[in-house]
Amino acid sequence: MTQTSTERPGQNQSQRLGLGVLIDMPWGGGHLGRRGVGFEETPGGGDITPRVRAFLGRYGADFGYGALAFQPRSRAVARAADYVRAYDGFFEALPASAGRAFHQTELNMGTPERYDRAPVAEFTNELAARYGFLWVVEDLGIWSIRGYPLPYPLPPPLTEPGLEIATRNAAQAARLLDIPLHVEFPGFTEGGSFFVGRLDAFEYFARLADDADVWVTIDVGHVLSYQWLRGRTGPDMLDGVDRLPLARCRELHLSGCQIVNGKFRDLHHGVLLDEQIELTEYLLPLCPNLLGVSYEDPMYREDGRLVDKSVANYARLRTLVGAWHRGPAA
Amino acid sequence: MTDPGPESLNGDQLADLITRLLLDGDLRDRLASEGAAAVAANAAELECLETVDLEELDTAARRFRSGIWRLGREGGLSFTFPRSLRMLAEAGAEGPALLSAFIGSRQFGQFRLVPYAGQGLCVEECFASFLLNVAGNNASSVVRETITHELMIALFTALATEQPLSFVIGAPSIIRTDRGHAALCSYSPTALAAWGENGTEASAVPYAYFAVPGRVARGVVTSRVAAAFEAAPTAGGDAARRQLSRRGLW
Repeated sequence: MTQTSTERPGQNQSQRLGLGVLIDMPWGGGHLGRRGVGFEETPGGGDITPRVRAFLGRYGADFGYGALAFQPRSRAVARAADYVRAYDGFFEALPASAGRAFHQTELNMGTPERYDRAPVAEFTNELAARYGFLWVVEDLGIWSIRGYPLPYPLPPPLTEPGLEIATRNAAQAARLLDIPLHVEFPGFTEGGSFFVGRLDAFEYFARLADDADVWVTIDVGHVLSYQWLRGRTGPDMLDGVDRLPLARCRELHLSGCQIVNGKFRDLHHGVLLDEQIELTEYLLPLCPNLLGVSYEDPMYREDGRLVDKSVANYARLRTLVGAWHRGPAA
Repeated sequence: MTDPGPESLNGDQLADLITRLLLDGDLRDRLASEGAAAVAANAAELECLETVDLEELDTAARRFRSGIWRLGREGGLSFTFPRSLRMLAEAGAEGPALLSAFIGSRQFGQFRLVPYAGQGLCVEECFASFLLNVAGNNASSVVRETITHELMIALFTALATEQPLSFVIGAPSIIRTDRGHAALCSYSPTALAAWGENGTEASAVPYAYFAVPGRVARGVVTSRVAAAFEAAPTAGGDAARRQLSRRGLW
């Protein structure tokens, strides 16, 4: 694999960062089960909620890096100045030694329509310069279409033109960004993520990564959701996984998943399945350029303690990633 | 890259198809009951429609619809148009059916939340236009004025608190002022009474809205203040604008 054509500041980052945390941070304090998780408006320009502060204070030392997922503060055109007070609060709540990264949600690389990514990239670059982000990640999905917001990003059209367009979109996004872009394998069958087309998603993703020459993020739950959709469960859950662009993989994501009514749901409720830990264990030695493993959207109480159901597999993940972090580089 | 061949949908066609699947309940119903071959316009569409998981599509469409209902500020459309919806419900137009019809309407086609595929109107303005259409020309002036009034409150809240706007405003009555925006409407005393606001005995009461950064003001105004909105400059208009400016509203 060659990355020489796309080298950007931070691209040469090669030191393992270990376990990281990625938190979706809506404004207005979150909703439903995640009420109290996010940013809240303050006279000073916004801040993290006490619940997030309590979690980061309690567990922050576990993480070699921290990242937040972008959510718009309002319908105003996004300007970095309107976000930095709150983002300062988020990153200051993590240990000073922790690396920083950013999850975008508006690059919209899976959409087949014409879409102007320049303003999103400009906004992201301003934040990256302020916070020294190591990378920007976004799921290869359709996050909005014709300006309509989607409740969950749809997988890109799994057709040849769909692949060609998504590849162009990803290459364009990488070109516009000042820091490395990690394109994330999309989620499937999450209770509202229908898709069109017949191409194999693993091969699709590998072709896109090669042709766009980008780094990738592999969300373990997303991979399992696709395997589940294809009937590859139990002992078959690893079938075909090595067709993913593992040499380009910089980051693994794990968010809470659950089997609901026979379907694999990526619920982001903090409780990791045993299968997610097992697939992570399988992938770690196969990803020679991996920088870190992100625990995505942990679920915790007001006092910051992880909910009881999530504790056991979080501990397994921490132990597993800790051993990998201390181990010899590939 | 493999040649996509002549039988595959291009980007615009894919975007159209996915959008229709989300918005068009009749298409989803026919797809479920008659199958992909019956609804596909051509072989390329059929190739895509055959692969759609109908249960997932149904869930996606349902969640999309409820997401639209929650858009806008605070509690969403029902929060923004409480009196309008109550009046229309009393006339037989209930919320859930109304929302489905809105999503399938011409007015919804003008809505854009994410501006990077092209700017559009905000959801409140599209919904108000849809509600006026539902109310029809025969509806009482109170219903039509209530829809307009609740829309103006939403637009002026956005103008005061969501700058720079990511959407365009179609309402022609809104003008720029030195500090922000303003509009002058004319309402019946009956409508004002329905909103719990005091009017005058006149048949048409001037009512103004003002937005400056972080602040909205609205209410019945005198003809002296209404002169600030005149098309051709006069001494009275200049005096009104100076007065409003001193109050921080113009």
